[in-house]
Amino acid sequence: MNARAAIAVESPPLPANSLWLLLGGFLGAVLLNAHHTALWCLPLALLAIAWRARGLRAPLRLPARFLRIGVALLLTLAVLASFHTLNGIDAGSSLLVAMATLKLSETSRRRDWLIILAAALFLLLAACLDGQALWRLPLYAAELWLLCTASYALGTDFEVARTATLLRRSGLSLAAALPFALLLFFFVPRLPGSFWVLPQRHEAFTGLGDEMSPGSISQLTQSGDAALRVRFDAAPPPAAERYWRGPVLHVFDGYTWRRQHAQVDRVPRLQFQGQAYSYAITLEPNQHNVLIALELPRGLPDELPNTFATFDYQLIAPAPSERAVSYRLQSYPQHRSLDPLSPAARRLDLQLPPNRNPRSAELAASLRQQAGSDVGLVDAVLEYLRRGGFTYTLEPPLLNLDSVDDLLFRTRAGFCGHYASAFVALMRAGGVPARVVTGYLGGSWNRYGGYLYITQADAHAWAEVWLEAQGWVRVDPTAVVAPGRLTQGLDELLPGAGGNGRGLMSSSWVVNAVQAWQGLNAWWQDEFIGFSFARQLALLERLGFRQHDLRAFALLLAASAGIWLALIAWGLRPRSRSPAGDGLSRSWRALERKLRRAAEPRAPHEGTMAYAERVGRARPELSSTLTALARRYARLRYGPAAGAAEFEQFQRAVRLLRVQPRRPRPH
Amino acid sequence: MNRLVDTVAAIERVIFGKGQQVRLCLTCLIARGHLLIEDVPGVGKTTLAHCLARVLGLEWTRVQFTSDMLPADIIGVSIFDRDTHKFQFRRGPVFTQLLLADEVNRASPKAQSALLEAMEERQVSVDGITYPLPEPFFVVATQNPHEQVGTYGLPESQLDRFLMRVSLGYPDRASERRVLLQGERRELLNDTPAVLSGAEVLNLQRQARSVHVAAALLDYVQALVAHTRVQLELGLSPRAAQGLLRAAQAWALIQGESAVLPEHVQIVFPAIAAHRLETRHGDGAAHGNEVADALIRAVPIPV
Repeated sequence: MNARAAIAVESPPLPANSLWLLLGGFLGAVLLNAHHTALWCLPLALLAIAWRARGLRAPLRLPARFLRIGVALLLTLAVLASFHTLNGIDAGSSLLVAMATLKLSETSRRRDWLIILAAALFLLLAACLDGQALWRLPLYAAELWLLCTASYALGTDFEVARTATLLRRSGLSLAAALPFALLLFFFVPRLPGSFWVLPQRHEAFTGLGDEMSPGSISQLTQSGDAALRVRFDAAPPPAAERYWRGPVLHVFDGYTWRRQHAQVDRVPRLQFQGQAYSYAITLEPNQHNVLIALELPRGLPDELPNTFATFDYQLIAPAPSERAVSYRLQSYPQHRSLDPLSPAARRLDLQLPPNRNPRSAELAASLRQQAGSDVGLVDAVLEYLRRGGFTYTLEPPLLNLDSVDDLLFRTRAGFCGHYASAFVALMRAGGVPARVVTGYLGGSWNRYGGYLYITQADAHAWAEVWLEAQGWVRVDPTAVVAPGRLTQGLDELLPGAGGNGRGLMSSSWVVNAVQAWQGLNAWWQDEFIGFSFARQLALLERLGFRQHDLRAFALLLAASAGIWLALIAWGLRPRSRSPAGDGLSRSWRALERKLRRAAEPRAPHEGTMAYAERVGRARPELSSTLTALARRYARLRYGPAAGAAEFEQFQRAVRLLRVQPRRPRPH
Repeated sequence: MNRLVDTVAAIERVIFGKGQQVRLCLTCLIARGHLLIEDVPGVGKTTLAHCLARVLGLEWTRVQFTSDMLPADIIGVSIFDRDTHKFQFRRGPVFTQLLLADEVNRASPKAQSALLEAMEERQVSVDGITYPLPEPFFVVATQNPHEQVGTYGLPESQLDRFLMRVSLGYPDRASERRVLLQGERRELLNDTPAVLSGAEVLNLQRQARSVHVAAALLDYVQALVAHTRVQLELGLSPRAAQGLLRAAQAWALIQGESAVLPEHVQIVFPAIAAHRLETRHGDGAAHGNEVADALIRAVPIPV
């Protein structure tokens, strides 16, 4: 009778709960990527997961190898057909979903399930790269927890632990890893411009564009998406001065306004006056490369190199931004042009398409005659707009190709773009250089975040006219048609706006909740997503490390990581050990070391007698000696108190034992 | 010691090729524990119990449990005596040294609990009078794990009263051949002599309790039991831990050792732990044994 035979068992099959956890984890990973993978990925994965889940209850026949190879080729082609590439995060994720799904059809052993687990973890990473909004954070955390639990369950040989126990333990492990992760997040250098920068994606964003055709819009969608957030160093400017300058439109073909991309002039000098406002802007991704700024900014943002200013005071970034960017600026609402208007700029801003909008041209000529001066013309046109029965609406009638004529003499209804377009056209027809400026107006104050929140619904268009005495002057024709637009948001202005869902916003606790959520999002965006290498250096500097003693910092980082790992190790130390290090265990370990060349070492749970018997079977010539030694050891360790003499005998016997490396040849 | 070797040999003359199980059964009885034999019909449960009783020289009774059984059918009943005008207690089958409770899970919970109370208390109380049961007193219960219709599975608290659960399993090829050649087992049983007696069994029980247990061994037993509590939602109870140690002592006695070694604990552990753990964590005897083996593998023996 030997103990070993009694306790040796076959390696049991994988515990069912680990497979359920794993399938659930894989499902979660696929769902988290569902919005950017190919459309067919989700149903395919769902089918495969359901099929495998059924297989956990009933035996399953896995498909043949050639079939799997064929399907693999087919799926690769499908990804190619969907994206025309295998590169990039969307195509890559789709391919990963497809191949992991296919892997389910040949998964039977632990190794295969581990591959599914790895694929799911990769998909989670892909989802993190793709979407970093705050609301996704709990989903990512839950998915990570699920996958870690699955990994935990797969790592055990037997199903003794309930899922709840596994969940608790993997949760504890993750919690223990969290301080370490935060340390890495804040202090491991993020090298800019490295290989992990994602390829650009080309998608249309709502908001301002390179051109504007007011006549083509019959319904202006009010998008509540964030456009920008502004944090002021001191008090924000009054509502009437919250003009956020964006793309400036010069070129008019009678229907559409476009930007002037070529620089027709150098940047005219300005004299800044009055109150200055310093602020930091976080600009959401958009489709143009103009950096939004409060009118008018002085200098360029330090945070974004290669930015430049244009002759019409736009700040241009090298490329449209793929993700949110932050920068600091200083602006002066009061300013004066110091340079005269250059002939090229004058030509550009007096340009009108010939033979278009004839009635407007007549109107402009007659107003010009009555008014006499440029300033008088501005007032006259504004007066015309105020008295002419014009109304403000977000659902204007469509205009024909002579859009200005159509608006002024037929429809008489429109929004900011219509009036800015008409005003500038009239000005130019009357001989006053003028241009359309697009951007945002106003914004709502978030008292939880302490910032101004500007949405795409705050998009606005106004005009700038050149008056010889004052330079460029902002004129907002919408203000005379709908005076409230300046000081109120669009919502309050429109009587019918209550029906489109945003009316809900009027109840105060909803406003509070929305603002609190936006504030939380802003904090997440600013502190975590926007945590760049520059911010990292700033943080280090605040902690007292200059750029040149980064070596000391690296040492400190390594030391603190080491301390944390040591703390974890201390927590994991074996608790109930017999008084180790006594002479008897030293002797026994010496014996085990000698026997290492004779047989496999003793497993931790293997009893000493069982071990001696096993080694004796492998090396019969040692058998009797070892049995006697193990017997003596057992007596010393587990028997009634033995004399010192017996221990010394044991010690001596172990010292004297010689184990040949090879089994001696039988004589 | 020789008497024990003879005892095992005598049983093995009737039950072929089941040396480990036979030793475990004997261990259980010497550790003063009750035994549950769980197996499919026809592998020799009853023969084993019968054989144990004969070889140990004990007085024994067999009760076939059925669903219409009443507690009185086990314990006994008070009958009014016309002559003395008093109630007189008629002792039931439980008043014996070895009670074979066949198919214990067929009886109603009420009847089961009457038996299980007797097992725990080693006495029976009827109408306020307490009758002690004979010494030694063993219950060897059998149940068929695969039969589910019309049975009342023993609840956890009652399973806990059985020190060990042993499964015989099918015989190997050679043993089955011998069974086929041997003919009627009943005759074999009748020829089996009693090796021990009730008094000697009691004596062995006393000896087992005095087998040396070192502090290092207690450390190991505690580590093993503690690990069941860490690894599982519900681990082994202190009563089970006590039983584990008693059984390991009895096993050491049968092996002729003067002290308990960790190996002894490992051998008896599945028989003691499996039925206590499996009802809480899964199904089937094989599963309980797997859990027990895995637990053993997970706890190192300090040297």
